[in-house]
Amino acid sequence: MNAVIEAENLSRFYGMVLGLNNVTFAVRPGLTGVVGPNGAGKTTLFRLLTGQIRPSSGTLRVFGANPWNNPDVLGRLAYCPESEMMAPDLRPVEWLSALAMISGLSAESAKGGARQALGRVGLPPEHWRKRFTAMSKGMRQRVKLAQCLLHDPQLLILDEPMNGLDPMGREDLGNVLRELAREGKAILVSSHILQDLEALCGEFLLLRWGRIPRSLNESVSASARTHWPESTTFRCESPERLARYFFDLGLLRGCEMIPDTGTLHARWAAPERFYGEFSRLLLESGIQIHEVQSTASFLEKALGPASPP
Amino acid sequence: MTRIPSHAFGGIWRLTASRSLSARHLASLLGLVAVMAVILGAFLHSKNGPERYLGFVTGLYFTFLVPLMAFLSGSGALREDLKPASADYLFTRSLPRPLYLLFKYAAHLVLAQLDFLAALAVLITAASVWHAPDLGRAIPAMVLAQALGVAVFSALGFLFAVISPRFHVIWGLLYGGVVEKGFGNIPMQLNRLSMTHQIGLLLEPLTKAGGPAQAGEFTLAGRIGILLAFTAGTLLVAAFTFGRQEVVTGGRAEV
Repeated sequence: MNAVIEAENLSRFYGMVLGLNNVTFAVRPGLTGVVGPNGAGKTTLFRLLTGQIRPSSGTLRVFGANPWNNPDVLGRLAYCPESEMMAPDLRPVEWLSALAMISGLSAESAKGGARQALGRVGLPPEHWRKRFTAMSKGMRQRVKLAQCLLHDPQLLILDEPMNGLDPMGREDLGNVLRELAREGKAILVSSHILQDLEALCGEFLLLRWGRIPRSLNESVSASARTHWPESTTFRCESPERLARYFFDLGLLRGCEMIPDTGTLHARWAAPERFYGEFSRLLLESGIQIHEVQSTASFLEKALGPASPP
Repeated sequence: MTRIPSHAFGGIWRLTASRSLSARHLASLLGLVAVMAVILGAFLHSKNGPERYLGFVTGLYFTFLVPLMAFLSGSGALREDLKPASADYLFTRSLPRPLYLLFKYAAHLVLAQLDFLAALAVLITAASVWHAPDLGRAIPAMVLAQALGVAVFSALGFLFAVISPRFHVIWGLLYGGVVEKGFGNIPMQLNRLSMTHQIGLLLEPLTKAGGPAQAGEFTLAGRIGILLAFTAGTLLVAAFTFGRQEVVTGGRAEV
């Protein structure tokens, strides 16, 4: 599959301040997560991709062309920024219609497109005529996403689109994004809710201090992700009995127990065996399980503690 | 999907009009008009009397307040769109930026003219109540002078907002002090560079406040042409610059 975005030795500095430092990557159609702590260079990357700023050095191609000030490229992408700067006195249909017209749609097509986009992101029609000031953050977030769908873009760049959404809203949004990805669109999405990104994306770009460290990105590569988590935490009625059960099966490498809270932290000798038969093993244990939690997502593990280079 | 850039004007118009019709904007306009009415009332009740009304209006309103307010409203209109949070929605679309600036100016100008007409209506009503002489003859020239002043100084506001979004007011005041008031008061041909001088000359048939006419001064049509040409030139420079500069320059906080 051809790359939609190709960056080679791409750097951007703001005077003495580092934005992006010599990054090379490619993004293909499908869902790609952009992960990194604050100040990692995500916003700089998005502004470079949307042609708002120029690279200091290196090359960036979007749909095979330089996005800087390039209306042809901008007509094929959409950007959902993290910030909310909606006209407070407007209603969603009015705001979206205006933005669609700025994208070159006629007034009639813009209004139709606005309604269609609002329907697609799951904002109930009774909210379409509310002023933004009377809407919840989750509703405004859906409207922000809707403005990306107005002109049928092939590349969507979404900066923290899950912010303010409840779990059901995040699931709905995830379904919309999966559907768009199935249509062949490329979607670049950043979120600080790493579990959501893990569930959503097939590819990841891990940024840290303006760089895309190879070791980090290899650790979240598709082959690395087939490895199971090495430890799991259970909250159950009897951590001792559960530990003995796993031990007798030869699954445990080690464990810690906190009887007062009914917690067992299990480190696996053979994680693939446990996760491969997860449901059967827990049912056959005969022990009431209240909660099962992986100790850290692979993205969390890959990112590790934030510390300067 | 067919995309036509001219449709973009409709979108820009809607966003610009929504701001102009907001309760906050209307309240500030009402406040401004009220302040003007008070100042004018105080003048007309002073020892100056209604007979010196036109000179007062030309000196204070047309060559100071209108240029200043038009400059501030023009630069403010564009600066709102240049804030990173707005720019992310507006300048990530397929409309070329120079065209955006020209459409924005057109939308802003229409709405600004309506605002300023409301202010002028207050001036004229007050003058009429206190029986200022020659008012009927003055009104067409006042409307023309105001319309051109708003067009010129809104365009200058756009240019300074593009060149220096943060310090546009300081640069604007410097420009106003040196070119508009400095050059404008020099009794040489250099004063033609001052657009407030040109506006004053439009009102010269009504008052001498525009300064002494020079040999070879332009006709009315010539003066209008100068003001329109200056506006067009200013806008073209602003559009050219805007198309070649980065819209947002992130600081460390938004890296």
